[in-house]
Amino acid sequence: MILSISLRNLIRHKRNSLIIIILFALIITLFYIGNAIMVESGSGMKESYVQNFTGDLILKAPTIMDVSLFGPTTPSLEDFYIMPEITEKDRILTILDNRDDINQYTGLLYGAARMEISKEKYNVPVFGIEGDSYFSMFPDTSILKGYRLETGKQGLMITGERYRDLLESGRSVEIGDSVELKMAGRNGFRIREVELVGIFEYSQSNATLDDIVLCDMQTLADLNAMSVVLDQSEDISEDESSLLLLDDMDLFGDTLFGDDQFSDESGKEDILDNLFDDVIEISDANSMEKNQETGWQFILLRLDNAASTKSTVKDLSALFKIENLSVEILGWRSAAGFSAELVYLLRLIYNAGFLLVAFAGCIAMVNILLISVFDRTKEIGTLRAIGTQKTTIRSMILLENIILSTLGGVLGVFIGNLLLFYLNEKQIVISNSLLRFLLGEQFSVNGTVQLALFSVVISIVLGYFSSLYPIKHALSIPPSTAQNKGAY
Amino acid sequence: MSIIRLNNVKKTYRMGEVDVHALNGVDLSLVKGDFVAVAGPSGAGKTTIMNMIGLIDLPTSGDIEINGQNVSTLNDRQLTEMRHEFLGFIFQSFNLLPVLNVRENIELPLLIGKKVPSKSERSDWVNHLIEEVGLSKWHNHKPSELSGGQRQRVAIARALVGKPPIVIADEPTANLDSITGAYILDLMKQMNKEFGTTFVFSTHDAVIREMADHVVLLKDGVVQEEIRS
Repeated sequence: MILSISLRNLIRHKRNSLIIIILFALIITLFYIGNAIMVESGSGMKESYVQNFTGDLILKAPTIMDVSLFGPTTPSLEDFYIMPEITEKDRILTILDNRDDINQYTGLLYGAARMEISKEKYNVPVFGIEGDSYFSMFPDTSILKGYRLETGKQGLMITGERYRDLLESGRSVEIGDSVELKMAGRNGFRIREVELVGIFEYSQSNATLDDIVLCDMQTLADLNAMSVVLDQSEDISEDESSLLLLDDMDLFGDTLFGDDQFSDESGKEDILDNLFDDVIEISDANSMEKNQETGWQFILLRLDNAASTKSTVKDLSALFKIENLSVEILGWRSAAGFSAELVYLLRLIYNAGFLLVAFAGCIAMVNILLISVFDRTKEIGTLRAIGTQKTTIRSMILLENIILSTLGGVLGVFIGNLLLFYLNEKQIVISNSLLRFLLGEQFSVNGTVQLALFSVVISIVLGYFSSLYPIKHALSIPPSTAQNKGAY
Repeated sequence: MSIIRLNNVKKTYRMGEVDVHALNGVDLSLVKGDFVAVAGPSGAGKTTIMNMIGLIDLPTSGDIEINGQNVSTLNDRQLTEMRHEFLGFIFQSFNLLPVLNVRENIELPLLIGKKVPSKSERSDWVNHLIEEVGLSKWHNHKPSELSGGQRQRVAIARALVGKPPIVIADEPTANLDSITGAYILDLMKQMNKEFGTTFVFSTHDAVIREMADHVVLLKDGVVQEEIRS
């Protein structure tokens, strides 16, 4: 009977019901579309990163600051930070080899370098890889030109996007060209010349992935290994050693990557080029000692079942603890660094904004619901007079608002899907670089069943909170108001 | 045996800066099965005393006993329960739920209590009451489709559906013409005889109060006279 009364009251007060449903629908449409875009970019990014360069899990040595595959996530202003190598690598690999849930793994080194190729200079993240295991783990990586790096051989690979960028700049790039990598460390600089062996492309690309340069692990280890430089410190002149006082801000500006303006600032570039004229050590990669054992800063893991990540993390953590191994486990998002966190940050900001809109909407709804309660003061008084408990009155009003909020939520999801369908059909090409990074070149966003259900739940929760004050008011109506004169 | 007893009941309302003494120490004892008229001029305190007896308002001081239970110690839940179990209400302006039809309005009190009778029990009893108040042809109609007299007959049936020992009716004929009003009073009297229900109704109509077998005359918030026939 309570349900029946609630439903009939909603029909009787059509205008109020309709206004409330539309309000809920508008709020939920906003929530649904915004989050559909965020979810799409988030899941696209996850797939892109996990499949292309992070793997499912990442092992690393403990560090004093948060690090991703791109080094410290917080810029270090005091020193150049060289990621520590994983100690007791062999024992860790033995553990990994014995686990059925780990399908593949590969080692990785990271370095931030200035690359000169065909007289063009770029600040690039360089991944030192063992070609065989790396490309076996990321089989979707395609080779556009040249060949894949092989384990134990020197060489360097750039992305197709970089290659096209060079061609568009009027540069000629050929396999076999010499590429110069310059790297700054705590005690000075090192330069290596490496042969360009291939142009590669990840299965899904974005601005972060397009920047990556792959080179053999030996070369990067050598560029990173400052101990070798220290051995030769007696040869450094006074002028050269003065360079050691410079920090990374002097070299790369505020950020190492992604600053397109950097190359345009000729002043900075000149300083940098002058510095590199006075480098401590330059060598051809081919002149390095072959087959030198290199440590790994990261071990990327590919699991048999990506859905079992949590249990694998739990098991490995326990094993490493028992074996007294100093190693930390990262998920793909932490490993991918700020670019992967960006979408979650944006989602957080968007939903904070949504909360404000929802709050304003709730205030409007509270007002409408209050008016509805005022209109029914005598009816509620009568119900109380004939023996209806307050809990029943509460249920009745709450039920009405839950019905309205559910209908509003469903309508909001429906409108959201219609709008997404319309936008998808329009085949909008995205020109903004940030949006392009998040959504790809063309707008194509689809809602998920989970998001639709979650949106309806959000609507119901809003309906619940909007009802609280009107319910409080309804419960304060004394039964004696039933005696008020005049029919309702 | 008293089914309703009021001992020195006072009620004061605060109207802005002024205290209005609606009841100034009412002592009253009503017997089970009585057909009681509370009469008096406007402002005598008729509605206030009906509200006190109907437990929809509480006295400022004094005691009220319903069916031997002193209600001054009861909390809101217990008072609500008591209204449901012991009292039926007939309002001057009918107070039917506009979204429910005749049958549903009558059935409503049966559905809001702790113990809900079975569907067949409810159906039989509601049908009987609909027949008693002469609304068999109108049982599916909404209140807005009924005349004033018909609405008040629905209200009478609703007040009786829970088989309460007491029915409170505040000026039940005030919104009806004299013929309909007389018919409604006849119906109430008939129910009083048939079910043994105590009816307490307020009125300022001297003709109607003659139908009562116990008349309580109020003036300025006190019982001026009691007439038993």
